[in-house]
Amino acid sequence: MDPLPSDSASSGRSARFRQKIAGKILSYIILGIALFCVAYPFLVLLYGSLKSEGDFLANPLSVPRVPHFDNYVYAWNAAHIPKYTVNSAMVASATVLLTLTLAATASYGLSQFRFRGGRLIYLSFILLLTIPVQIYIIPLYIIVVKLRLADNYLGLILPYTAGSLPLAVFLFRTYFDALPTELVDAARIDGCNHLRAFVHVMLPLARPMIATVSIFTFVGAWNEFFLALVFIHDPNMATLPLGLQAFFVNQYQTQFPQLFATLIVSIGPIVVVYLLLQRHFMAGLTAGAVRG
Amino acid sequence: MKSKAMRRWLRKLEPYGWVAPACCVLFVFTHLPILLEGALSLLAADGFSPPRFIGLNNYLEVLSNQDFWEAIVHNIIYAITTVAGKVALSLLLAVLLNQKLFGRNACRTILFLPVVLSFVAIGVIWTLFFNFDYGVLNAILNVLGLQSLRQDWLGSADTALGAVIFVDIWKWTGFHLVIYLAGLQSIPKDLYEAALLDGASAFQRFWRITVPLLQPFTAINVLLASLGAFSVFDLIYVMTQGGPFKATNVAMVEVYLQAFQFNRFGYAGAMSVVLLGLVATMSVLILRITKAKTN
Repeated sequence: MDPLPSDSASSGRSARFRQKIAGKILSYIILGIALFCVAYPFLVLLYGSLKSEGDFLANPLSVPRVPHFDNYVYAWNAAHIPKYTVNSAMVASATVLLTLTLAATASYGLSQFRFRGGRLIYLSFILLLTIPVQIYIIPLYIIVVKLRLADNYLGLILPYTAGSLPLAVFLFRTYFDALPTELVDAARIDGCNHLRAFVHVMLPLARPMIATVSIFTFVGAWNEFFLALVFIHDPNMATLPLGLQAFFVNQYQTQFPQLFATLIVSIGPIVVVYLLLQRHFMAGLTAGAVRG
Repeated sequence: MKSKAMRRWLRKLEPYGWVAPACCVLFVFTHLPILLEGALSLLAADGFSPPRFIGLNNYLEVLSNQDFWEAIVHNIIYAITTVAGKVALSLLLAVLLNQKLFGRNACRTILFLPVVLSFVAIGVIWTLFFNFDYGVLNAILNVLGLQSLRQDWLGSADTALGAVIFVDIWKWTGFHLVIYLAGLQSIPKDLYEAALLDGASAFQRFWRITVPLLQPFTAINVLLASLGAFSVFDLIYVMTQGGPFKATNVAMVEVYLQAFQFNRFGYAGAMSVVLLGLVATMSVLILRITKAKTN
């Protein structure tokens, strides 16, 4: 909404100008409040993590008197956050690779060929877009246990992949359908089989979709808690959310600065990656909603 | 030497080769469990002893289970308040951020930050902030001289559900905001210019142009926020575990307890089927209503 200055009368113009300034000031005030509400908790977390316990109890809100880094040593060693981070990185990366492979190949098939059952298969993918995994957790648990995948990362990677596939296939398929058919046809006339046409023609063109799908799949798997809680019982295999929750339950009501430092260490990696790739993150995480 | 017939047959099968891997994973880990849930809900199954067919008994028990229906009521309250809060706040902030303002990108980046964090991290952060003795919230009230308003926010049945709802809105507003920003960018600028020439006030321009043209984006925001509200688990589990005195008990916490604490898989399956029915009805209703409005 960008009110344009009107050319009618000069008195009207100045009134409108004043109105515009007032509007801008009000906008800054409201946005400032919103920014404060979102950013202040992170500042408190950061300050708090650098305080000694006495300093925190004396002044919970302000900056630390003397920065105190022991809490980070504690978070690094006692809370096992680095181990959980590595576990989550492995699970999330494997989920991204598997999702990209399966979604891109399936979408190529659905987009390039007309075949019996193709529409039905696509529809059965799309129908799943609105069913949250929580709702079928019990039969899923039974299947995972029967396949001997409980306490096994495949027991997370495969369901996470299945969870990302409907949206990934929708996005890839829409993207492939919009590309000119001559591209693949030309490659085929040059003697490429479909596999070569897919790898050498379609995949390089699909780079923006690969980025989008990677981001929402990675963030989803990185943050997932419920399936990990149900399927993973070995504390050494805990992913980051699972390990953080278990640590928090055992430590509760004790030393706040140590907990703050633990939280900072555990959200650190994803925050840094987000700040580096912010535009891609916003596009990737809202892709389903904006295009759907 | 491959015969011609064999080659033609192989060519016919090729598309299935492309879609088969994805179909297999999706079938085993999504379609199959959804299909099995209906069957499971008719059994007395604990995962150890052989399951027994008991007809609709699980459903009868769900119907008479007051805890479950109170949990559903909490889900409905949760859905109404979070949807209203998220949509109103994100729409307001999106309209403001759609102007040429200093620091607009930085502002958007910060508002979106909670979206990339897990519910567990955010739940832990806010549980610490809501703490009665050492929490930031009560410390702020102290500084402001409002000691009388200090609360055991998560420990009291009056405030716990509201506190969790607040955190949910806090986490997701940035997400809905970015969706609305995409919507605002799709509205042609000349509509506003024409309205301005006709002497429409800022409020009229917002109400007559912005809101109707954002309709599809509102629909998707409402749908996503409602789906989240009916399947909410992580935040509640981390912050209150459904307490105090079941004040924040929601359907998924009840399902989790019955299935994974008491090993009543069939019974919890019946609850899930009821929940699935509710979610499906709600999705269809939201899509119907919004479609009718757009036409």
